[in-house]
Amino acid sequence: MMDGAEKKRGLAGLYRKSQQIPVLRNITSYVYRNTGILVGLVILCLFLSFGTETFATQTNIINILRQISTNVCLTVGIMLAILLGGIDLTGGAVIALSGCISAKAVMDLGTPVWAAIFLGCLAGLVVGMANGLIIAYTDMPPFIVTLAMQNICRGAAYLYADGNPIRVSNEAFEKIGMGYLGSIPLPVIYSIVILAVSAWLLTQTKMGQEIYAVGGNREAARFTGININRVQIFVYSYSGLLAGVAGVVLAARMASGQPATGVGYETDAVAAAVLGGTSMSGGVGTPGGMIIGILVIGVLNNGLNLLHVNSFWQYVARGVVILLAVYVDLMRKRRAYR
Amino acid sequence: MMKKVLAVLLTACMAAAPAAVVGAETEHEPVVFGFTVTTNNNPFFAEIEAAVREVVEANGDVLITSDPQSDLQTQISQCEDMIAQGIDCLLLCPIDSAAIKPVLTLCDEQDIPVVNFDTDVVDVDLVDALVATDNYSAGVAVGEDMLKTLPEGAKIAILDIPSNVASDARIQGLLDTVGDHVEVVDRLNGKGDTGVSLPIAEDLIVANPDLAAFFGMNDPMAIGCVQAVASQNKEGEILVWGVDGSPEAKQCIAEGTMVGTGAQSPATIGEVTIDTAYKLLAGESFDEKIYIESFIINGDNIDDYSLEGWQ
Repeated sequence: MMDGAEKKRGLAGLYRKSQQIPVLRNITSYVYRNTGILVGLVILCLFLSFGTETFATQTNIINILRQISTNVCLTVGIMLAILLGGIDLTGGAVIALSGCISAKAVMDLGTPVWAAIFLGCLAGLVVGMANGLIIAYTDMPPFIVTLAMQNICRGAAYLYADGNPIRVSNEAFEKIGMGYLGSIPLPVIYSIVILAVSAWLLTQTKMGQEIYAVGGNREAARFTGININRVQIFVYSYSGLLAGVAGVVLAARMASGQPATGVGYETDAVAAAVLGGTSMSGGVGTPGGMIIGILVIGVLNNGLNLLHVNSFWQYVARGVVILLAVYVDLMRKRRAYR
Repeated sequence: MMKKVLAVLLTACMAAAPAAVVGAETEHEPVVFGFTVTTNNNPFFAEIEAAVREVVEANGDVLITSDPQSDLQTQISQCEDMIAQGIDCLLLCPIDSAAIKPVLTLCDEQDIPVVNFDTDVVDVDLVDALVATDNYSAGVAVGEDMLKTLPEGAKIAILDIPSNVASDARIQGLLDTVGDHVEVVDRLNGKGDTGVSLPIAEDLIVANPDLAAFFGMNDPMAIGCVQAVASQNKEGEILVWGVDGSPEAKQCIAEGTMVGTGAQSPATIGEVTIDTAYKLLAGESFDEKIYIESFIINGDNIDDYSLEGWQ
């Protein structure tokens, strides 16, 4: 029961009251921080639930969660790079490269499946580490370094695959992408693990604090004795590793290593990160917001297909939704600062 | 002039180091061919290039290849560079059929013959010969296979690359052939890529519970559909056709996960193109317009083809 004074204050009163209970405090402040985008997601889901017969079915929800698993990996990597005030554009090309490496390992080199997975992920890690080392020690802009590395990886994927997709017919390998744990697809499990580890990293560890510090104010971070090079190398390596994981999982889903795949995947990842409240100027952004951003992009892509929207209108619709969501979020934040 | 000679010498050194050995044995001055396609990244074009290079190098001549990576401006400037290097003949597959005109005009002014292959240019009178892939016939080949396999009124979904000449021709061929026999319920942009097509195809299976078949405008998109059918446990219920005849698609046809593909033979296109170019340079008679027909590869004839490479 609420007393009269709190009733008058309405939502704000409820919010204040909820702050007194620890568990609720976490949930309400999460909702409060991400109101704009969360409302957008709910409206989108409601609209699709009533607008189509197929959106709110178990099959479709599982499909969406499985489809966004690739974007989860890329968005986490890109978000960390953006938090640092940089960007990582290698994701899509790394997906192609690591996919081809693991597919070829399984099919042509006869490597055991676990080793093929390891090699694919390792390729991503190596590329990411190279990005980090170059960015840290040469001070070249991350945009240029990762754009160049994107080209190198794309070329490497084509060279390694000899221009042609590598078909995989190995049940154990395909399971990585197509298998289930109970009724939950494995890629969804990986997403949850990756999101949990990344959220823990950002909010609970010293490295997380340092990432925010470096992105927020690099000079100040330097003066407090943070090893900026180490933070950069870590972030880009982590991002590369996740793209490598995404590549292996996607290759398993496609039952093939596709050297041409992943072109432009960074766009969806940047959109998801920004929708989730990550500031392009660095230092600001939460893993919780990012998850909603990823869901919005995933639901939107799925919904437009379910609504039989023509390809050309799909581009327009995606653009409009991104503009709207970011605008609403910006307005809300401005009001909050006032 | 000096620059031009230098350029030719340099190119000859760089591009034809292996050919130079062969060239020394033959007496004639090596002929320099310029070769340009949409993007060398596409295995289809890589196969054409390999077929052309084999013939050119066996004759002790030189092949200069450029890779415009699907960018029109790059293709035009690379062609200008090749012309400046003193090529004797340009083998051209334009990125944009109309906008490639400046290159054609330049070749015309400098009396450099042009053999146009795969995709035809708009200004046909400016090219000396055309070796075209008949994309329309690829759609027809798949359409005929669908007519045999699908019942009247079956619902199909198409993944394509919008506003691409080859894509439009293939789909037109398909639609003209199947007529009212099937109903196209969705036509979406799969960007020619397996990774992009997979989730779209999954969504289309959910959105159309009675879907009977997919048509992937090229084999990579068809493979995306094959995997979507597998992830939704619709094997055997939803059939998949593609176009290209890629090794991957042939493996799927052999496995039974894909019905058929409207196959093209890049090696044949390459061989006919370079053959025409040599005839033209030697002043022999040649066909000014050659259309290379597509054909269906399906479960009935898959055993006749190698699953490893292209046909």
